[in-house]
Amino acid sequence: MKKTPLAFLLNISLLALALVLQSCPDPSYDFDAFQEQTLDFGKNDQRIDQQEYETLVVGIGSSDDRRFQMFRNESGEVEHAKVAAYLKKYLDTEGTNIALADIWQPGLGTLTASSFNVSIFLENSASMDGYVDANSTSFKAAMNDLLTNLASFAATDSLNLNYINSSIISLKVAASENDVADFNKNLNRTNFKTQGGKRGSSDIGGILSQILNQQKSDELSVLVSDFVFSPGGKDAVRYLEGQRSQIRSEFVAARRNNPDLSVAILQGQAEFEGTYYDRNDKPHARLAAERPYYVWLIGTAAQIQSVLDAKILAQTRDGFTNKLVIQSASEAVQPPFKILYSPKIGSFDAKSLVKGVITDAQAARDDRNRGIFEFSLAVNFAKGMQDNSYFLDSTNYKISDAQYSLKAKPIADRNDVSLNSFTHVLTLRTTDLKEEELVIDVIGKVPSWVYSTSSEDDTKIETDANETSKTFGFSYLVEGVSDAFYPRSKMNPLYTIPLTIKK
Amino acid sequence: MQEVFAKLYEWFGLIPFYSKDMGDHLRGFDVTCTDFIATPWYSYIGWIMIVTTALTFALQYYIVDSSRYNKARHWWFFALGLVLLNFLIAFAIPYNDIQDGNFCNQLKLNVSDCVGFGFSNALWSLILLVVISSISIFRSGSTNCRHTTFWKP
Repeated sequence: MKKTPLAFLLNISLLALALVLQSCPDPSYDFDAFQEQTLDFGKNDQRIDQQEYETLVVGIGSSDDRRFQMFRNESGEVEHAKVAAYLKKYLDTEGTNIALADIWQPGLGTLTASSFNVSIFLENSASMDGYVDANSTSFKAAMNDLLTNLASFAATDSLNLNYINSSIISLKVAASENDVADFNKNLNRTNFKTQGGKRGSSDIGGILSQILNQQKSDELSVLVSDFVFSPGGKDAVRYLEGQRSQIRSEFVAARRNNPDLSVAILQGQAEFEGTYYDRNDKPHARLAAERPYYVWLIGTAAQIQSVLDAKILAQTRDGFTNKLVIQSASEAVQPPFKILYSPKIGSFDAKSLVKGVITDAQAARDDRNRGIFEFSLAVNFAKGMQDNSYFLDSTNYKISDAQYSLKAKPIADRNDVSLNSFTHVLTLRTTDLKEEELVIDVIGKVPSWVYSTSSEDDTKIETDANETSKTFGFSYLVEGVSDAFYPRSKMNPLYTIPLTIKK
Repeated sequence: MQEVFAKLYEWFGLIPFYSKDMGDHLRGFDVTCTDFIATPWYSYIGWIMIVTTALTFALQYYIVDSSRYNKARHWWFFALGLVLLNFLIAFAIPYNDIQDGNFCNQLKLNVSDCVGFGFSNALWSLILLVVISSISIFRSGSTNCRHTTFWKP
């Protein structure tokens, strides 16, 4: 009897210890083992190859450790984007910095284009003379870099060089390095004239039509032009609207033949010295200014993605100031995202944030922010082709509840381990907090930079310094393309982020 | 069990000795601020508190079990040791995490949170010791301390 209570106490202690041990994850394969394995794989060769990745995923599938739930969707399937994002974050935290691209993921290779032909179309109408006549070599240097980079690009099968105005003037098929050098050397007014075609006006709709009609599915067209319309004294607005309509029709027809057709539009700046022809075809001689010019990539989404990923355009002299990618909006993609614990106004519980669910949400009660509920999301838009700035414009977002406002900012601190696999922070605020399914869509539309660099009256270009940085009729041109991809009657979501708010 | 300990240490939301952010850190909110997949400190520290309390009780009543140490003041001496030990454990673990930066940087943690959690853990160990030693059946096997409680003799 005397020993019974001691035995009882010892039993309690042993039971407690057993429970401590029981509270540890499954010893066969738990999250800690997963992390150790990840470190071994990552440190080994600074990458997670297919075999290593599959080993990790098999481990996740066979384990009942609840911590693996974050990698599973509602039906219990492993979401590879989440696994890869976590692997990167964890390895970064442990001081093994590897790129997301170095983590093998199933299906990631589907957007990788095989080799393809690249056809360069340089518009050689008279309006382009000012770029090649300029004392500054900025345009020539940019062209040189562009062509050299494209010629040496691994995915380029053959490089074809063309001028284009009223017709396509083929200069070289399957150009060699010497041909590219000759092409760059001959970028001058004399050669533009010699090569012929109707150089007197720019029929942009006609130029695009020619390119689209000869475009093959294994071909990427690269069109370089100032894209200044030439109404030739006609009613400018009516002319531009007509061109917009024609361009839309051309791209609608082209998309019918190639549903995966996409267009990237890059705006560069180069010195212009020469005669500028305004909307009435009136020449403005000796205009000397920095003027915009454009490089259009027309091809499949995979081709354009591969060129953009290889930074072929970004690595040209002076680079490009603005970029727009217009692509099929048939299926909205869910980008990797997470709800941030802070900053916030009001409060919520962190327990289900990983599932995109905010629980126990409460608006602020302090005098300063009374009634306001605000939270932030970190989102990774890096896999998309759009310019980072596209995601900063709140007008490019559509929120299912109009009571919410949205602000977007880029993530500048690359050392923040909680944000280092994300590109943007979206902050949402409302004064009408309620339980709901909140959907944030990034919609396909013409970005604001197109309108700010577009002009409808360029007749005072010599005296209006602001006008020199604009392109006559440019917004009509881009709207024509955009309308073909993003019908105005639809919302055209490119990305969608589903959230749940629970009070 | 994690949530049971969490509720205890947070005093069911009635008397918060430390911030909600510290609570989430102790629940295991990970360093990448993604999910509750880091060490579940609430569970670990909770079980450590129970085990150390049981061992302290066993130490006084069954291991030492001395007629020289069977007064209430001796009970309080053992209790003091237990309380200090549990304070130290609960203070040191999150404090080390803060010093090492081993926590989600979106949580606002400071030393007063560590003190608050240490205090909460110490208080629960004291309460548990009071409860165990107040139940006579647990004391009945002791030779010299079977009548010793926190208030007598």
